Amino acid sequence: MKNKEVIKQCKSGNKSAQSILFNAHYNHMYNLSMRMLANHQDTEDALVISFTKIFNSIQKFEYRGDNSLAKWIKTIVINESIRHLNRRSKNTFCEDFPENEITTANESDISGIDVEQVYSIVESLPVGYRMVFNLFAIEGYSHKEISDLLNISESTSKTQLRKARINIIDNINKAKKYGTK
Amino acid sequence: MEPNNIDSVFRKTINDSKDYYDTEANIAKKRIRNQLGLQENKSKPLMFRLLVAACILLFISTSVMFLINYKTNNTIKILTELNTDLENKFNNVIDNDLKNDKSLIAASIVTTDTIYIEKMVMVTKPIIQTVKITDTIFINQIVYVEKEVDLRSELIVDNNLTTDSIFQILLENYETEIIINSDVPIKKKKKRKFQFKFGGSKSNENDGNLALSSKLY
Repeated sequence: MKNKEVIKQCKSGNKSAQSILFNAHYNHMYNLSMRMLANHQDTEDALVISFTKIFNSIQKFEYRGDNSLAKWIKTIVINESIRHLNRRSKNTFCEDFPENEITTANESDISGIDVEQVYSIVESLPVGYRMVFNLFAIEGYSHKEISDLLNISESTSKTQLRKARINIIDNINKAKKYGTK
Repeated sequence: MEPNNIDSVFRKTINDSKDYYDTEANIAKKRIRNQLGLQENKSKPLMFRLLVAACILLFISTSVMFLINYKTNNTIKILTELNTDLENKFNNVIDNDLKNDKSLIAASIVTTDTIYIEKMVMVTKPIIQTVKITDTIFINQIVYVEKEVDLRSELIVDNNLTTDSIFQILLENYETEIIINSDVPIKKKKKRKFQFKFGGSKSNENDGNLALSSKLY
């Protein structure tokens, strides 16, 4: 069943079509939400609320291609993940960055890093760093869009991104130095 | 190091491993579907359903046949054992009887059996029955009445008597009732004599005549 037909059936409340839509986007949205929340339980809660909103608000959605549907769903999931963090009061953005902690690393330092280390490092980032890094570096949001989503200033978004990168490099160096992730 | 390199390396690594959390995702999928009220698509092809139904029927029929066969086998086994026991007992009885003389005597006694045979006997009754029927027949008949000598001689001498006068005389002397009346004159009846003769003449000795002879005149 094509996406257009699925959306049409979902608008009429067809459970089978909703199930098809859910199966098509569930895994990708789970990975996205998990990278942002770094907690499986929180991810489940966020996805339940996200897909509920998707099925309820699909009446207002205008189909403009398959990419439009995927982007619309991703936006809802990201927004719900952010709201989830705000509800749990976990979203903190540290504006002040001690100069002593600024470190630099060469490109060769991150060579040879494997997938598990990448995910481990991302999960270990502070909440604010993780949110901005995921939105900017992975999902491709601009600092303006990030500021609107997180209700912060663009400068704060940039600062958070820089701090996230420094933290990542630090963690990579520590892992290589001590042989741990 | 260019900061952008970190972004690119991480982006590439994460995009190449989009299914990194799939294991946990699949575990949580069922719970999330239940919370959303979605059901699994269980649309199986018709052939699959027919195949399942055929397998179930085959299983049931096989089970029933197995049970029937099992019961039959048990029955046969029991009967075989009973037959074996009976054969053994029979052989034992035969052996014991041969040793016992009484059994031989008993074997030589002729016994009669009463056989009751049912036989259907057709009893026929004569259809013809003799029925006595009494009919009254009226016959016109001349009755000859015997009369006395005296009267007879008188009657014989006097031929001029008419029938009526004769009858009158008879009525006066006999109490006989004459049924039939006739105008025909009575005929003179010839008087006849019957003679008995005892003994015979000498000339007839050789004829073989009896001592008593009779003769009617």
